[in-house]
Amino acid sequence: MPARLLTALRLRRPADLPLRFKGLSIIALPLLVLVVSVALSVRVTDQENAYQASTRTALSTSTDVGQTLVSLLNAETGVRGYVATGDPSFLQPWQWAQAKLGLQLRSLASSPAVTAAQRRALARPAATEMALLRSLMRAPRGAGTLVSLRLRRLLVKGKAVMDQLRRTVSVVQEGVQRFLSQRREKVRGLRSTALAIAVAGLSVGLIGVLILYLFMSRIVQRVEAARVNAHRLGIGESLIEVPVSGDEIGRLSAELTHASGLLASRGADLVRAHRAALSTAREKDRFLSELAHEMRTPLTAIAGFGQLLDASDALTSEDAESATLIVRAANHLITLTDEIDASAEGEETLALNREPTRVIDVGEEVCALMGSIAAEKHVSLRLEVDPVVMVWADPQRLSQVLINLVSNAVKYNRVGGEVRIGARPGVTDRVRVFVSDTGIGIRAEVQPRVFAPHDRLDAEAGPVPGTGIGLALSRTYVEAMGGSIGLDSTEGQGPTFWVELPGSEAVVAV
Amino acid sequence: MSTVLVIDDDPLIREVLRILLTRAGHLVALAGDGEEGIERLHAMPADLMILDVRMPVLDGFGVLAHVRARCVGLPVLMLTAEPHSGARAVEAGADAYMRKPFVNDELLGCVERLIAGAG
Repeated sequence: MPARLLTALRLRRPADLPLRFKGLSIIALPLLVLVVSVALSVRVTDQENAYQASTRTALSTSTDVGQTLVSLLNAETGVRGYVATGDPSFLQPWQWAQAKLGLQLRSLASSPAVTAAQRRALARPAATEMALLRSLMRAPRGAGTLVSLRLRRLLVKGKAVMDQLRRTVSVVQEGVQRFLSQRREKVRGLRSTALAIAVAGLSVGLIGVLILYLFMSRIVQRVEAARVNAHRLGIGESLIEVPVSGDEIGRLSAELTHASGLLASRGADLVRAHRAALSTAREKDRFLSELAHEMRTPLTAIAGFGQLLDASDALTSEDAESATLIVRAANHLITLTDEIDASAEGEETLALNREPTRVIDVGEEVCALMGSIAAEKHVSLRLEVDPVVMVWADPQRLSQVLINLVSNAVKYNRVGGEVRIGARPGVTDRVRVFVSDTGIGIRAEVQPRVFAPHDRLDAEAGPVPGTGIGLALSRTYVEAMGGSIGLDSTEGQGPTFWVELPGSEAVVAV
Repeated sequence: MSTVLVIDDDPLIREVLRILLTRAGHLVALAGDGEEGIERLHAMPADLMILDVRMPVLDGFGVLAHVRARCVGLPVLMLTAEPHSGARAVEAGADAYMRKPFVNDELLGCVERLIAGAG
């Protein structure tokens, strides 16, 4: 996996790198600078603390040196005064010095600011001086004025030792001062380094944020372009050009372009198929109407001769029955050719004459026309329409539609059944006119095909006259009037066919 | 006794009409196309013309135009097979039209009315 990744990374242009690598590297850069500057500043603070500690030590060493010098001076002065005068009060400073000096010298010798050689130089004269001072205390003295030779020698020697010690201490003091000033310089240097690092870190961080912002807005821009393209794809418009790139968004855009190409070619195929289907349908309609026309001539002869036979008195009763059957079969064929003609006619543009139409008027006309057919089958027609219900429709066409629906409702009804014609308000200013019957109902799987032309649902349900184009024609009429037609049915229960049309304000009769 | 001239290119329909009209007590003259029909009309005047629309040589509208130009009072019943030619027939001057196939009794009724109206 890492090897593959590396090869992948090496082979690609930056634009083709996956987004997660781009994003990671853009975030990693300022983060790295930030980490480095924090580490450096921690280190600087540490060093500064260390320098400050050693500076404090040097300062206290310097104080120690001063105090040691004072003690030495006090002790020496006290001893000399005592030797010269014999006054024991001069011994008090010596005693103080003796109490403190050992401690002070040890402290001085232990200071890190003092070099080993200096330490040795300090230890030796200090011990010698103490021994000398003790000897001075014990040396014989006169009654105030006479100083023995030995005492004088001791004093001279003591003077030499003191001078050496003082020099050594001064050297130490100078060293400490030098050390202090060096430390001060270093701390100052460290502080400016820390500041420079902080400034550099801040500026790199800011630049990083800026790059990140540009990167993000570029991504947002490209995603937005992809979204726009997806939208255009959805509404079937051509896509806008986007720069080619191999990352995730680039691939998304490429897929969209690909999909758009496919869609375009499918669309062209569909248009071609649609045109072909339309032309086939027109061809079929021409053929059908031609066929209907050609059928009419022989049908006229069959029906005519049949009626002549049927009207004859010279036939046996069996022959008379045959003649009646010929006439009935011919009439069935005539119905079929009429419907075929109506179908071909339905394909032509409909001339509509729409006006405010009272549903009950149309309903009454339909009931009057269908009454005898319904009575033949002992089906009762019930008209349940409020006289105020008006629709915006062509009354002629609405009547044709209702005749068709009622005719079906009677045709597919059981003997002694019922057909109801009703109307009620539909959604948003529309009126729903419905025709329901007590027939066998329509199976759910065939319901969507009910309004398709040339689809008889009852092929297995028994012979019922009709070509099955009536509903398709009704749909054409209703849709031409700006309405819709539909069906609610549960198999086993009679279906309810409905027509929804724009409602109309009642016109007040003058 | 009135004479009915039947012009139709289909012999079966001519035969149906001949039997139907003869039984109803009319004299029937037959012609198989428009030109023959006009010749017949000139040879023997008729009281009514039953005219098919689609015919070879001269179609029903051609015959009708000729009749309206020459024989002003002759009633013409046109038989149409096309869905819309009925209205066209009336516009062109036919006195009545019937759609093929027809109901025998209705056709006879129409024939009687036209003859009575012309008489």
